Amino acid sequence: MRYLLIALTFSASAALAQTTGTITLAGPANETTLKVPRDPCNYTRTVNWTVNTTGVICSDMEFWFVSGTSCPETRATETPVFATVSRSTLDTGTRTNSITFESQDLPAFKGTDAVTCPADDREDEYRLCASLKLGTAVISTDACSTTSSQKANEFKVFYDAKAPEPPTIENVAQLDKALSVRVTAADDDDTSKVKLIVTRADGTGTRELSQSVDLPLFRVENLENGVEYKLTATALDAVNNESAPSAEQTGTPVFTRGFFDRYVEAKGQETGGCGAAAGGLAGGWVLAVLGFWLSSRRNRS
Amino acid sequence: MSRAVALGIVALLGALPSQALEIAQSPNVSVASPRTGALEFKLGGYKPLIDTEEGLEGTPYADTFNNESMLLFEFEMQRYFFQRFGSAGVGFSAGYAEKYSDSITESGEVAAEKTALKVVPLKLNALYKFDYAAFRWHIPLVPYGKLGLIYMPWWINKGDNTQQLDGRTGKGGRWGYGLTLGAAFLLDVLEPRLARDFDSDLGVNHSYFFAEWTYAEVNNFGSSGLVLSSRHWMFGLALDY
Repeated sequence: MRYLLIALTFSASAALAQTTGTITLAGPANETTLKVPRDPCNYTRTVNWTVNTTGVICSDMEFWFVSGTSCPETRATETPVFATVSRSTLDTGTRTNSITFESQDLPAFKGTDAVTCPADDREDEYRLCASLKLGTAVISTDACSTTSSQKANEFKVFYDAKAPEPPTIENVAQLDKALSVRVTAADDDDTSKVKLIVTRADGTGTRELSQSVDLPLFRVENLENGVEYKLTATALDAVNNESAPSAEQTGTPVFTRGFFDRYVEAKGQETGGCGAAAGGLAGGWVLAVLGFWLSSRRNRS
Repeated sequence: MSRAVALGIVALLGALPSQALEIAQSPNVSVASPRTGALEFKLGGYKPLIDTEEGLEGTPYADTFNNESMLLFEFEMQRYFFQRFGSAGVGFSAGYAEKYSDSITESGEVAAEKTALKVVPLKLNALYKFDYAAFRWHIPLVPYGKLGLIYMPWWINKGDNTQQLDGRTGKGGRWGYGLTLGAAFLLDVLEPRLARDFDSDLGVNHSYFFAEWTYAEVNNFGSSGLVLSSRHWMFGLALDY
């Protein structure tokens, strides 16, 4: 009986520790992949973390990067930590928050083989790792006398310093005070936007238009007929790496005669406009007839 | 074998009186649903008489669109007020037609952008259908006529935009009137049973194929400006409900 009481006392003194938990990492939009642009090197990204366990937390939580495709259970001693959440913070109940890192925290810019940030023309894939230790002692007054490491879910970080291939200006159509320009991005490219730069041949009046890569046709309006314009295009990826400019093309808006031009040239008297009275009366017709028709249907049923 | 046949005959005879009773007791009433109006869906070629505008020097419509018709689609709702000697009522219709062509440069070459004329004819009609012969004497042809007011919004595009020129805007609306004469063929005579099912299931009393000719004067009752009058044929399907 006495031994039984002793055993019960030990189990009630928080010595019976739960040894599992989860660490969840997610981007601002709950994504598990983040891209980092070539520059600036102090470009800051935020990652949200959540620790979910009822066990005893026995260490600070550490955040670090590894090259490659998976995080180890524990951080290698030579791997630098870029952020830490103290054990006391976790003990006080703060089990969800966020950490930030800068482009220059990535492994490419740390250690003996570090390159200078920004690095040109490279695309690196990293894993953002996080871990802490939970107590595993079953019958002990010190729950942390033995521990197990818990690591976070997989979280990818890409350093994208590679500009897309330049796009191609496929066609320039000459319109009335406008140009229609078809720009296509290179195949198998990570272009997300295309930028068109329009400049008068004398170098003045530069304009830039940007569109999604899914909309390859640009319409440049409010141009001057008979004036030559120079056109170049660049491609931008998701982190705004900009390609070299495309080959230059030229276009000259020209006056075109549509049906209304011909009608006016033929001394047609129409000046347009329907007038509020006419439009209102027409709208009234529609509403009245629809209302009458609907009410007749309702009465019938 | 002969005993089995005899038993079968007895069973059949025993069943006959009850079947006869069921037939005798079945209600002898019409299953046709009430008929209150009609819906029409029609398609045809619409060629506005733009080039007939008084004082016009040239034929801009013919020059631009090769004097071709526009493809017009119209939908009409009708409501009958009188159904004794034929059917009379009112109808409202709305339609859409467009015509595209190439713009040209000053040197006459084809330009890279299109020009287009688009119209939305709206009509309020009084109508009469001589369907007495079809329903009374089973002659499956229904002549009819419509007379009404027309309002036609229109707009002219060059490229993607409505054209503006010398302070004029390339859009507006024109008033007018129109007379329509047509004949509808009662499709019920081709499949009477299907027509009855159509009525009992969906409330469509009769269906017709029709052809009609329209004389429309759409020029703001003779005032200056765009003439959207026409004389054109339309063909379509009508459903009495």
